[in-house]
Amino acid sequence: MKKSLKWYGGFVAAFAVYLLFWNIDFQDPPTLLRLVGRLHPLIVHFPIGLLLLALFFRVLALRHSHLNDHLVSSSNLIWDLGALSAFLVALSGNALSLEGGFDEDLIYWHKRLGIAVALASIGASLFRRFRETRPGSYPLTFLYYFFVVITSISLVTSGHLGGTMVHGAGYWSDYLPESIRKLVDPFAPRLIHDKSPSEYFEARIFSDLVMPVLNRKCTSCHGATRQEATFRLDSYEELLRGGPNGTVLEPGNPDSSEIIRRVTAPFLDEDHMPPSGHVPLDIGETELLRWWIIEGARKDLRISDSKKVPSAVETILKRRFGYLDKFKTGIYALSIPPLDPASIREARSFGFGIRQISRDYPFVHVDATNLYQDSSGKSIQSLKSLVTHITELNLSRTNLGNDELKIIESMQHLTHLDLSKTPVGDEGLVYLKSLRYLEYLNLFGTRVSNEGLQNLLALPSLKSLYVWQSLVTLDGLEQFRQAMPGIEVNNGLQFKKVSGDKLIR
Amino acid sequence: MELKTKFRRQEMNKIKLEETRREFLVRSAQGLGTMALASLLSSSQQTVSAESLEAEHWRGVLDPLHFVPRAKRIIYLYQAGGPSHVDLWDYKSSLESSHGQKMPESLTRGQQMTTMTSGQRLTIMKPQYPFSRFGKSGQRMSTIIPHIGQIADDICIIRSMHTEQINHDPAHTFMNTGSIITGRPSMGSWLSYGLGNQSKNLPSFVVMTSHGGGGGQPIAARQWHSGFLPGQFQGVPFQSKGSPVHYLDQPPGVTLEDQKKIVDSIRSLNLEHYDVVSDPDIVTRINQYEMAFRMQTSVPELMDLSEEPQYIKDMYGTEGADGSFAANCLLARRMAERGVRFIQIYHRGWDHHGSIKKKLKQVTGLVDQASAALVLDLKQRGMLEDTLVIWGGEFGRTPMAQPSKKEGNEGRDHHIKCFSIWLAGGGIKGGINYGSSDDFGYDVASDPVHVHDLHATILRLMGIDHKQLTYRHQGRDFRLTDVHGKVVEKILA
Repeated sequence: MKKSLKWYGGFVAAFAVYLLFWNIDFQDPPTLLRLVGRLHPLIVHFPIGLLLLALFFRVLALRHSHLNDHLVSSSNLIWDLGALSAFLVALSGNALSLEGGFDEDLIYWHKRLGIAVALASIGASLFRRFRETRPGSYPLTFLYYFFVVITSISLVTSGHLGGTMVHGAGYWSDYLPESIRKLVDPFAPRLIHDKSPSEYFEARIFSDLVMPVLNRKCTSCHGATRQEATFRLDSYEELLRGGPNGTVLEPGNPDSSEIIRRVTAPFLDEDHMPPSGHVPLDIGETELLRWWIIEGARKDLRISDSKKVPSAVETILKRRFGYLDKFKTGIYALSIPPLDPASIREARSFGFGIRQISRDYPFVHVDATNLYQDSSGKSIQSLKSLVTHITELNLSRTNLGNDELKIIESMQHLTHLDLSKTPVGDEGLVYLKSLRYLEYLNLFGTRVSNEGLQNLLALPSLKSLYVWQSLVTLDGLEQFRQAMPGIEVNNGLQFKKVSGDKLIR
Repeated sequence: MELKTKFRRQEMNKIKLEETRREFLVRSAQGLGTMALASLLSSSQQTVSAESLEAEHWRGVLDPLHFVPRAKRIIYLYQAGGPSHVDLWDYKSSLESSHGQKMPESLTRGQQMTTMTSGQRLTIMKPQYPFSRFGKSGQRMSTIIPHIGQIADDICIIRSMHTEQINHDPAHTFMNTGSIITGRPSMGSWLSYGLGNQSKNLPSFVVMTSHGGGGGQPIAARQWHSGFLPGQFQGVPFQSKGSPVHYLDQPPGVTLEDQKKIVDSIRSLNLEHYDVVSDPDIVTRINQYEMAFRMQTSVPELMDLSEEPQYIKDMYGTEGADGSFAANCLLARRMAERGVRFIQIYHRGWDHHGSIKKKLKQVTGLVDQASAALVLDLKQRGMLEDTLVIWGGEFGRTPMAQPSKKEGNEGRDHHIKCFSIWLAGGGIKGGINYGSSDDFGYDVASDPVHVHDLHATILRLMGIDHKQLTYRHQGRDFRLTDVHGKVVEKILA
């Protein structure tokens, strides 16, 4: 009884000390307290390990009766040590919380549950002793088990919350299969896969490229759960607002932007972010951030708005979006159903040469080299199931006339059309009216006249037109040039003959 | 039972077709299961398969292409002998001001020279003809090529080419095959293998050697050889004078029908033999026979310059098929229209060791007008947008004179450390120049372009990643650029 009283007294004294710290609002916690606080992450694992080990021994004792006495007495000792460490941990945790910078909700429950662990485990120790002095007392047995259960629940919950504060929500379950994760960690934020568009022209620099970097490297400390230095980087608005020392972004000027200074500071400098022990930004990520700031740091910037893509960023873009020989525009920006090999085979069986223009796009070039002087409308009908895929159609030197061109009307993605040396005339050009991607039109050696050119006035993408040896007159050409000034119109070329003796000076 | 036997025979044939002795031994060691699997997989590999028997013509192993192509065909105006870059494309005022002085020894000491100049006094020689600026772009070129001057805005001059071989034959081989070791496929063969024939009636790789001007070193057939690629990818030499393709004429008294019968009979015999031994060379042979037969009608039509109007002939400067460079340029355009993918015209008058002034005038008189006419003619037909024209030789010539006993008869020796070429058309930025040489045109000063880089760039323009067009031979994958080659992105439009 005397021994138990000593325990009792110790507990009351400890609780009194503890209360000293309870909810004291230190503006500037003393150094000693800070030191004690910083020990919290170190000693926090003792009570967890010890208390769980004690429970484990107790459970073992149920199965192995011949070891019963040893296990039970070991378990009791370990539990007491655990309870003592839980008390110290609660104390140091309280000291650490004075430093601030933690998520309010999380720390509210972490603190209370941590204290619950300390109190309940000490409680369990005490009632175990009381029970030993009064064997067979049901109320005491009940209270003992009650405290054990409370300790266990608080221990797991508080530990989980502590982990969440340090590593962010969902850290432990990141690699669980999604179906299981939904059940065991329902509040975990979903892992950020690069789920952004697979085509660069849909991507926004901030949300699809910059934000994932911030999420990977910054927001575990400067995010919703934990706001170190009361600074958050988990949204565009927060980033713009900046930290306690003002803004961190200066659009257009990366070198005077605090965020760039921080991530590029010497590695061992205490200003370097992320701080030592965390993975720093790699060169591509840094360049990405710089690039976004150079381009104006707007939220809705697209890659295609960029004036110049730095080479390090180009590497990232290439990895993400494939080869960027030019920024995708026009038909390359469209999504087109995959090619059907059977359609290609069919067109080939009629003599067309068909080749997919590159592995990146399901478009084809079609040429009729082997349909020289062919005039059957039947052959061109074999292209019917390919009309959405044809970007280039070369019918040069075939004998296809106006009527056969009707199918071209449906080739909405045509960029290049070569009708040179075919009997096509003005009526055939009617079918080209709505080809909004058509850039190249070759009417060399056709029967097209001034009138036919009227059909081309509405072609928005047209860049070059060849009309040499057609029926187009110089006047007609002049009118067309005036109506569509940006277009290169070729009506035949000759050079100035220079005889061998009269060299240009 | 019978069906089963037939099936087994087909399977065995398939295996035989793809097997070399070495492969057979390796696969046998791995067991029959692997062997069957390998034969199934091999249909997707880049080999000449039975499929090419069924197709009327070879379609190439690259479908789809690696990149969206900018050029569909190439006309390579190959100036054999080594045109003098300092007299044509690369103006150096220092040569003018230091004319007759000794070449700075810091540049030339320890450098490779041919036996024709090594050990002799090296004096600087000024450009033989004045230079001028041409076109809106103001490209600087010699006034001895006034017609090419008029296409200045269409061409891109590379002034920083360099190569590795100082003698003609190995330098040609290097320029054509990317290796000085003989037995590698030439550029045209690689393209035929990768891209296939566009026309079923004409070969995809044609070579013409022009006459006139004299003094030409011989060009070996090795320059258009298919190396270890199957023989069908070899360049086919055409003569613009006389019979265009040797042994293609019908003998007197033999009609086309007779010949068709002969070709068909040979085909069935060949197929029978192929069933037994499965040698891919037989496939090549069958295809060549068929092609040759079709060429009996397609070639005369192609080579008939009489249907060209007079003003076109005047433009090129030829009166008809006379074997001249001009006639070949006109034929090249006709081939391009008819689906020949790689046309190479050799002109051999550029090896000016002596009397360079006189000889330059002679050779440019043959080459200048037709080169420019070809570019302009392609342009007015809308073909320059997807036809790549390359103009250049195997190396350049020294800024120093090659001495001569007779005053005024000096020439220039071979020079490999720096020379110039130009490109025009399909995917090339016109009116620009790329790279530069030092004050004497001796060394590359900026943006060097090695022969491998040129090859990589040419393949890129055709839609090919030079690192991915490979062929397995003697146990390793070969490519045109070997382990080198950087695409010169800056000259791409």
